[in-house]
Amino acid sequence: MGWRIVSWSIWALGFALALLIPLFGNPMMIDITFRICSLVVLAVSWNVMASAGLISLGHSAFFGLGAYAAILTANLAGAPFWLTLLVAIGAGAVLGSALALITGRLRGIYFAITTLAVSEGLRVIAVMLPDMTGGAKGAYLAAKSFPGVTAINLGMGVAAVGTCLIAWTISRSRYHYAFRAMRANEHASQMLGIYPLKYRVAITAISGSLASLAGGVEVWHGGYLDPALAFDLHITITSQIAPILGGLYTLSGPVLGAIATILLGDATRIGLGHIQGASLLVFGMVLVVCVLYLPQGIRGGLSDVFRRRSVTCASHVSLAKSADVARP
Amino acid sequence: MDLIPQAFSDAVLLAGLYTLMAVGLSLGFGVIRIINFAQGEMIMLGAYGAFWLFTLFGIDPLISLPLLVVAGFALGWVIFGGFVVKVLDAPHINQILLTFGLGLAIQHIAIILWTGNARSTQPTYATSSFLIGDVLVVHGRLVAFLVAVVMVVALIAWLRWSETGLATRAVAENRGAATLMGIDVRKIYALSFGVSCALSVATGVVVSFILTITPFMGFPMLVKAIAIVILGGLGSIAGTVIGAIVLAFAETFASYYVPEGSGWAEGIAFILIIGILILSPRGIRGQAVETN
Amino acid sequence: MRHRSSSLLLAGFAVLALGAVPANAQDVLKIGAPVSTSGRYVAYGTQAKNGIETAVEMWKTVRGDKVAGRSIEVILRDTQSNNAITVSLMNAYIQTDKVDIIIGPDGSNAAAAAVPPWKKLEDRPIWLMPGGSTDVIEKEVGPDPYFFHTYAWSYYYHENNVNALKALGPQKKVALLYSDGAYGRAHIEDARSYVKEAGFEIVAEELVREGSADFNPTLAKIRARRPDILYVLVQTNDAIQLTKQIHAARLNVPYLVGTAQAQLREWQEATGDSQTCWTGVTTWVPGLNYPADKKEPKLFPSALDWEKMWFEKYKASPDFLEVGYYATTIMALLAVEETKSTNRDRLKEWLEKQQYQTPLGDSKFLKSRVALHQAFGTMVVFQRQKKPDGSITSVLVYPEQVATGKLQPCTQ
Repeated sequence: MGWRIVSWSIWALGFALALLIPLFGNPMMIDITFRICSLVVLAVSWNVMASAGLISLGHSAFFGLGAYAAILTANLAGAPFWLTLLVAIGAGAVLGSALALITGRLRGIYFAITTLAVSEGLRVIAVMLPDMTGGAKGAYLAAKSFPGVTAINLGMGVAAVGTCLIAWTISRSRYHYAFRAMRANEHASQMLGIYPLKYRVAITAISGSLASLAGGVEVWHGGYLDPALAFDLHITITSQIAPILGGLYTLSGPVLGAIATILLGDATRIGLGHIQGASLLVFGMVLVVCVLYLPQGIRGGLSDVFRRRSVTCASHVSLAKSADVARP
Repeated sequence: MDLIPQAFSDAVLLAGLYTLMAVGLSLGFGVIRIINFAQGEMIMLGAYGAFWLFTLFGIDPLISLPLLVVAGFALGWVIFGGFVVKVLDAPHINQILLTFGLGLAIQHIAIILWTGNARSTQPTYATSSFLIGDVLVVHGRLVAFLVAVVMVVALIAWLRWSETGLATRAVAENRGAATLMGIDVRKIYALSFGVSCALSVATGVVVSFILTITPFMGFPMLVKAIAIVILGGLGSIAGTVIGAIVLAFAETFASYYVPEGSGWAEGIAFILIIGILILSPRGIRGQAVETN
Repeated sequence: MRHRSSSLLLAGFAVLALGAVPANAQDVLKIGAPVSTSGRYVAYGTQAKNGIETAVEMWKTVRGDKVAGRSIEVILRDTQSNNAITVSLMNAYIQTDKVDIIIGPDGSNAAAAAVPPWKKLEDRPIWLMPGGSTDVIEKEVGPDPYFFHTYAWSYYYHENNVNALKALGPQKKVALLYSDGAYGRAHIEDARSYVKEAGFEIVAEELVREGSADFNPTLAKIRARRPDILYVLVQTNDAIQLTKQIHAARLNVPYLVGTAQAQLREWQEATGDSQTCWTGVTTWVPGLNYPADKKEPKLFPSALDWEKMWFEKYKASPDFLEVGYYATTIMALLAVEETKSTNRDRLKEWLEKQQYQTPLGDSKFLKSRVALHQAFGTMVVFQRQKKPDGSITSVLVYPEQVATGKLQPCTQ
């Protein structure tokens, strides 16, 4: 199919940009690419969880944990850049698995609440242990070896590309069907012989480790970390908005949504920055509007525009009923 | 130590406040099966309502309470009809994100309208106090406690003895059967949502002279309410009361007796959530919570 | 079909990303101003914005639209009280917009986050910071020649506070109460060491949780130790609730010592009568009698005249950040005007030599513990006292040169 080739080339172009701009772009493009890549990692990771029916309301927990893992190993153990990122990934995987095990076979809503609680709980711990984490005052990255700004930006690009590839691999694997089943109806899927717990743990470990990776790279980029920053609600919110805006359960949706969210955020900050509270208000409204009127996100909206509408009863397709084939 | 009577008094008064804070959330979930993540913002609106009536017109919060409660009910009814009803049959993710988004939007509208500055109402009873033996009781907190008791008792009475209350309980137990019995389920939902918002607004009014009012005050209260509701068991009012008592006592006694306890006290809510989920997900008196 | 739509969109974004080239203009003085006009620090960001804008307006009224032949371009951007965005803004200001001077950010956490992106660049511009007080910032910036701090470091608060308390006589018992947030943690060590140095006895040191619903447990513990002085280190929001609870709890402590909150209108309006007899320490308070500057009486009028001007414009008394940002911005504009350049070394030299009498006090830069350039470090201590007519005002009690009254014990 001709379009398949076009689609693959667009993806390849996107990956190339993510990897080349940090090396050759001007400062403004490097900065925006970094932020987009960071959000892509978070958005795709959130989407991967959501695709298995697990809604994370505290994605900042993974992000913050990864950031602290990275800064602590760098400051206290003098670890180099790549090693701190490995530690961050490991920490995220552990946290994800723990969450899945704790919530066991409980309904999705409990997972959501637990992620919320864990995010806040980790923040409290970070504040209450100032000797280790710098506490509320925060801590500066004091690494023995600094890999250079380009390496860090490139690192985030690699993370974004890698995350997309991992998501694609999952969608192509046979586990994908298990996740779809879990999302639709966990009880029924159990009766079919699929054991949700095992898959839950796998999914949250993978997804969590990716989000933690984003946190780890960010702390090298910013050079400063404090609990409020690490576990910022803003991170949780944008991790959700991006995939919803772009199109849930798809591959390109979170990526499109991440780009759109960053641009939207910048636009409101620049255009409405003089009105206090305007930018986050816009995000809140976007969430509401998307849930109500644009359940398939930008991606879905565009699909509707290009596709001849087939004669079906439901023009408002609820998310659970949308065609569940993995779409690039 | 002889601080125990004081600690006990503090804990009891706090429990009343926490009950009022959580009972709205519990009702919403028990009946409609939706966790309203904008609940914290309802509390915030109640607090601001009391503040502006006090500051602009000199109306005491206790007097503005009935008025604001009615307004809260109306607001809840409107939010339900305008937004929530559209996601009743949608997957959880839609419901969660919808109310989350609403809460975020309301919070920032509050910032735009009223700025981020902190406020407080100052009726005289807010800071006056009296002594029972060695125990100091602050009037403001006692008033909050009494208001909480009155409202929770009224709620329980309504659920037990009024026709709409019974209908609500029927819907909570078995929606299908309730429909068959001729109950208009949509209306009951709207009613419950309205009542739950009204209770949150009441919490806000009461909190306006105890805590600091800012547009950001809602979120921490939402998290605590969630902890209480999980502890007591989703969908059970009695469980919520018990949950509130447990949390209030745990926090207060930790603050008194654990070194740096105040710092860790806020973490107790989270520990409770996780602990309950590991040990006994139904909570103390809740409904079945395994995968549907 | 589906491929097509997503492909087109991705392609579109790719084109956009490759686009934008920033325009370059000479003859413009570019000032980068990161302000938090949304998010947690929105209250500070608004003050920062007001201060900067008023300063530029005042300059234009007095000196005309240009400074040293250049037009003035203030690039105000919202940090959203978000550190990642602050980092992004700093990078943009320095590398893309190539600003000549940076003024800001407000809020200690944003200020702290802004340091690494600035510090790691060779050609970083002059940076004036009328905010940020934690020692973490000072240590990270170090003795950098292009950094100018126009706000008080946290230890200045306590140095001055304790000096004022020395007037009470020796061997007083002090209870310290601090919150586990950035504010409390940043201040407790300095507060503790200055208190000890002054010969006071610390009878209690209690931690409270930021945003706690009930401070009573801590107050009960403190009451049991019977201190003479309660020294409180908490953020404004907690301070409001704490003040009212302390009043209700009948703590019977003769002296209630706060830091910045006592001067804030927010706190004063929210606490009502409970605020009486609290002390505060600040760089600026309404009613401070600083004179006008002899060289620039229009740009730096006397503190009282400046207050009047501000009141006419904003219909409210100015807050300390507004004064600080005003003074800092005027200093920046004067630096460019007097050196007729935007060269950072010339600006640095001029700033190091200058000295004006501003509404915020003496603008001379001195060395602080670690950093090279610190202005407005002298602070005043005041107490909220009730006048015979029932209103509550700030009475300056330290230092002697500006004092208008004496420190009174609290009568419950």
